[in-house]
Amino acid sequence: MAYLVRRLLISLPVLLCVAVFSFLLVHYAPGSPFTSEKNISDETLIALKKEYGLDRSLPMQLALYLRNLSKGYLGRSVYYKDQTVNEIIATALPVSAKLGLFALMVALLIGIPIGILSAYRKNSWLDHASMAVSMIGISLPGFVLASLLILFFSFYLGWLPAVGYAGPRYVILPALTLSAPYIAYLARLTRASLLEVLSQEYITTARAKGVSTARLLFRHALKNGILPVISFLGPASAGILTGSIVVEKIFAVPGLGINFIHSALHRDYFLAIGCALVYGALLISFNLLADLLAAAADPRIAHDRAG
Amino acid sequence: MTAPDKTSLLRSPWFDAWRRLKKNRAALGSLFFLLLLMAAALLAPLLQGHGVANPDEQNLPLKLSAPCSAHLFGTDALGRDLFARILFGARISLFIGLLATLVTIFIGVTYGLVSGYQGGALDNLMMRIVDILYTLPFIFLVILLLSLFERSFLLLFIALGAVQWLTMARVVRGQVLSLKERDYISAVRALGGNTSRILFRHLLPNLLGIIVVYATLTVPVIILQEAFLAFLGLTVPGQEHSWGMLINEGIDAINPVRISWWLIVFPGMFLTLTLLTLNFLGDGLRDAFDPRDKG
Repeated sequence: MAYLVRRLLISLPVLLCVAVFSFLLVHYAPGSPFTSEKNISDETLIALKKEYGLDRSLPMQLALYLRNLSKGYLGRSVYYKDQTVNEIIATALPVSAKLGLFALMVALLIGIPIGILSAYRKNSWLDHASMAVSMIGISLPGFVLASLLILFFSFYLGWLPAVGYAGPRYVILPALTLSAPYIAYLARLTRASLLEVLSQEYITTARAKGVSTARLLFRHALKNGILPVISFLGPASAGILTGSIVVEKIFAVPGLGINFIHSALHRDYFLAIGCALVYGALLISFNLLADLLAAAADPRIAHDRAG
Repeated sequence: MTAPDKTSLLRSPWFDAWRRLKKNRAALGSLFFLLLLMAAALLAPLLQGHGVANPDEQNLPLKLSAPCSAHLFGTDALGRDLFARILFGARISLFIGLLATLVTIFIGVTYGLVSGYQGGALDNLMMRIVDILYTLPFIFLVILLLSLFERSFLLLFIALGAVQWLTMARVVRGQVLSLKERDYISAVRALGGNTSRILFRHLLPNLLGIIVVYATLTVPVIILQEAFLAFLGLTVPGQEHSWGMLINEGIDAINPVRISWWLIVFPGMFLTLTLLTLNFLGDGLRDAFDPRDKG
């Protein structure tokens, strides 16, 4: 419990750092959100700057931003003129979240069984094949896999749409791209951790008592063998979050990633900071959640940290 | 002091590691591939005109032609030879990967050495800083940094090196913590060796193995991040030929009417093979230097 409180307490300053750092980054960068608009008169520019509060001094702006932030208000988008950052994030985040969650489920449902099977049939052709394929899966960059999938399934076979987001059929390729490396990681991790557990003495004891291999694997080994997999969920969700930027760009999925990239390129100050903040908050919560899960599954961890 | 005889040579950890690595066919094959690739990348300008085309020579009538004997990997949207472009792209991608890794080694090893050797409150503080930096969503800040400011190689190295040294610092610190308690370090201290002598003459050589392992595993991470940033269009001047850029151009060029698959498949294959072999080699080296971990 004390550990949890300590973790939560450190998250807030970290998020504040992210907010201040990205705020300064955005404001010290050359160019302004209004440079792209042609033939803009000086009066209009001044009026626009005043409207967004950009005419004040930098410390004033930062103070104002942080005050709004404490109320949960992220400011107005400079590029999409009539929308607030909160509104944009509220429409984009669920799209990314659905995609990411689906990818994570796919990774868990395919990766863990492959790992169990490989451990169960250690050194069989199945084990060697799945470990070799998973090594490729880990090394294959997301945007390469995505373009290969588009080439094959959309252009060559014509089975699935290449870009857009208008129904379940549009989610398959992006989710597959996102989950592929994590299927590979989870398979390898599950296998390695099961094999380590299987070499321990209590397993030998159970075996000596005549427990069948399948029962040994599922009843005795899996409970302990799954612990590293649970700890891996934090980094995995974080990786899926990062990967979603590329995937959303390639497949033109209207999620948070695409908004983040565009906002940075368009100098859409408040949207860029807002997206960076949401990403930061998500990353921190994922790691926290994974730690909590690990502690719940393994009392030794909770005990270690309390001490 | 006599010259090392055969038995002491056999016992050197480097010799032992090499003997174990030789038995690992995947790692050895990877090493071979990487050496070949590096040689080809280094010699690319010399080979130009002798079987390798000029990577920038446009030939519009031959644009988007499929692989053939004249253009082994086909040509791109401007009729440029893809094989030559991949070969010259290797120069950029490998160069960035190796140089940025050197940056992470320099920062990470120095940080880890100081933190581990000093110990106590300083060590505690330095490791808490690393913990906090680990939780920062760096890649998003890097994207902000590179999309907002005028991009240069220096900025790219800062961006790429900024996160990767953390792991190196942790690993080195952990190793130093256990090494500094050994008798031979106490012996050096008793004989009057000063701190810098202990650090650089006695600790560093024993850390080289682990540094080599983690450096090998850092190179693919950096190459991948460079390609990732190039794919997002966040390139710096001089990075135009990198593999990430080639794939990015390939994605722009493909469409359902004219499936120019070679523009994706070949650069993607080289990028993936390089990452794969670096990972194999890194894993092999880790097993070779620390046989206890072998599963």
